[in-house]
Amino acid sequence: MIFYDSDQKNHIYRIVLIPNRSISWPILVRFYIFTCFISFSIASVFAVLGYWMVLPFSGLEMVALGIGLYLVSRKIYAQEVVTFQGDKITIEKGFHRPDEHWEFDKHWARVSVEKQDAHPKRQKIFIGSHGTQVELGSFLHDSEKESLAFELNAGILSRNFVRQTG
Amino acid sequence: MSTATTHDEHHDHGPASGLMRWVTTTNHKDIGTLYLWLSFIMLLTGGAMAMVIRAELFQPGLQLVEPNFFNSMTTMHGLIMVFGAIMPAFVGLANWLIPMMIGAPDMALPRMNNWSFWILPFAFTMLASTLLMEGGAPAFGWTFYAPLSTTYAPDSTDFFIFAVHLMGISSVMGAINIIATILNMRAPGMTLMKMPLFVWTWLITAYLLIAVMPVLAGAVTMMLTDRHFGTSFFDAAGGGDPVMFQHIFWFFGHPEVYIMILPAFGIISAIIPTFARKPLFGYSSMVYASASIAILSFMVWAHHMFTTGMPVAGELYFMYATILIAVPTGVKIFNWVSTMWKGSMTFETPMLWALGFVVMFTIGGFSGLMLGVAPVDTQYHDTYFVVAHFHYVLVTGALYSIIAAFYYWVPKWTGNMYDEKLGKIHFWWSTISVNLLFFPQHFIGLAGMPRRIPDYALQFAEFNMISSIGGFAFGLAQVFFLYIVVKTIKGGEKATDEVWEGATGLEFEQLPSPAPYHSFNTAPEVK
Repeated sequence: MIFYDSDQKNHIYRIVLIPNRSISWPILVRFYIFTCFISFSIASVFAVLGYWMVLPFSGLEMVALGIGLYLVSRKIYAQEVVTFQGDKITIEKGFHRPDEHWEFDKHWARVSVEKQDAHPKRQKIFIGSHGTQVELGSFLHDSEKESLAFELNAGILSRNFVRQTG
Repeated sequence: MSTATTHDEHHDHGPASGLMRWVTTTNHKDIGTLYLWLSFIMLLTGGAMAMVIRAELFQPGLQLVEPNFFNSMTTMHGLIMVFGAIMPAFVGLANWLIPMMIGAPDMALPRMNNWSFWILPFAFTMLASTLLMEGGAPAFGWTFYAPLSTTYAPDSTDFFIFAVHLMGISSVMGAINIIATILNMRAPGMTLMKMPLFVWTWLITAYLLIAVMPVLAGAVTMMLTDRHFGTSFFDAAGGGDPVMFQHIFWFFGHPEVYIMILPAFGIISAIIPTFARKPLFGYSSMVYASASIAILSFMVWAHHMFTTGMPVAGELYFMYATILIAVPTGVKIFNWVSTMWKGSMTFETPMLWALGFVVMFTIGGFSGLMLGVAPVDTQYHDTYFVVAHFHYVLVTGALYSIIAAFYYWVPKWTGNMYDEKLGKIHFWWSTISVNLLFFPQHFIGLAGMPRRIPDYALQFAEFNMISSIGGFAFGLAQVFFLYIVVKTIKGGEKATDEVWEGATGLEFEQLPSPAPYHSFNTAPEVK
């Protein structure tokens, strides 16, 4: 998914790219709590009857489920942010906070679209200059990639590029 | 030119070559293939044990094996078929199909997927090794009731306990992976109520697995401590309760039965609309019926225990709750029949297996209803009628759906069409022989022949002989199936991308045949 954000006062324009998330974090947490409730309820009944050995296995399993769901959520909460400000283009990638960071001069930066031989319909979008290329939006689908390439080119070509958002 | 980010590039290569591809793979298609091959090997292994059983029962009197070895065969046959053949086959299908059906690039936790498969060969090797141990393999039946599995069990039971733990760990990891994949990785537009029914039924199945696996793990651990650490969970002499073992086992065991049949409902719900060339009748009622069956499965466990003695109120409750399951199950049968009604039907091999499922699973369902009636169950309990019932559910139900799934999706997997003529021969050969095998068991059960015995009264001789002949023929039919599988993998008429006229779903509409090693690296758009 692509989101656009602009700060007209400071002439900042941002493109935020996030992978598809088919469930939101709050709903996932509610699902996990409900599953824990079911699992521990079953184990507790057996524990009350004296068959307590079900309980530690329920605990272990819920820990494993929690870790699994957290790891997947962490992966799909990846974010890529492209910021146009003055002559600079800043690219940040990370989970919740920027883990990787690149800066390009707007006058030198170029957007390239690479088509794959095996899958001609699939594209890869790169931005970069002076031999450094950064792939953007690898998780986007094709129509989103097309609009991303358009927006990036528009951002590079225009001076003080600020789009009216919202 | 240096490339700062090449994250996506490693997804574009094909599979690694050599044996290590299969050991280290994290690709959902590879792991699905591994699961399917393991389940086939286990099917033939468990089937060979069934042949020993049927050979012994061919005539009255002790013919070929010692009674204890016979009991080991029934035990190992049950365990291998349930945990080694049926469950891994469904997990294999889930691995192959779920990511393609929801538009995901792979399973959510690919490395864990690799582990959950590779635990299984060790678990089954450990289980099978008990056959070579002093005192013999476990001989207490697949339900491993205490005190047969505690006080009176052979030493090899400890290996059985650890094997069950390993299978449980594998199942839980598989279930976590499936839940995480379906919840998090659906393509944009793939809302829950747009998911194919196979995905829905697997989501519910995975949830059932998560709910009941700790109960199984706890049960076998308490068996272990009763055997070696001086506890008396199931030992009446120490204040424990052996009947409680049955409650605990069936609290796991009854949902386990639905774990083995719910994905089958999803498969049949994919196949029948394709060959009837009509959309599935009552999609949402199918979803709700699956969920209802899953919920009810937690409330009916003691119908396996009517003869242990329980208050009449308890018997009435478990009887009515059991019979209630016929309602959502009936909804499913009704919807499949309604889907076919006035459809433009053709009868290719997958459809034949699906129709075989509908007819014969219904027979198994009806005999299940009979067994759910408490006063009647008192007569039928532990007879061959029960054996006939659950084999109609698990063989002509679960196994038929797995075979139907193979014929339906193998062109998408391999790019090759199977041999239609051989597929039809396989179906009719299996269907005639499986009815020869299991239908007479209703009669000998009603006449009073107990299950799990190597010898029987003369009055049961003819039906047992017919049953054994059917068993040998059915076993041979599955060896023939192996030939069809290998032949299809090696070549054949090339499949189109759509494969079947009228097939729907992302795997048929948006992927070529064979499906590429990495599909949906970029999420598809679901209309």
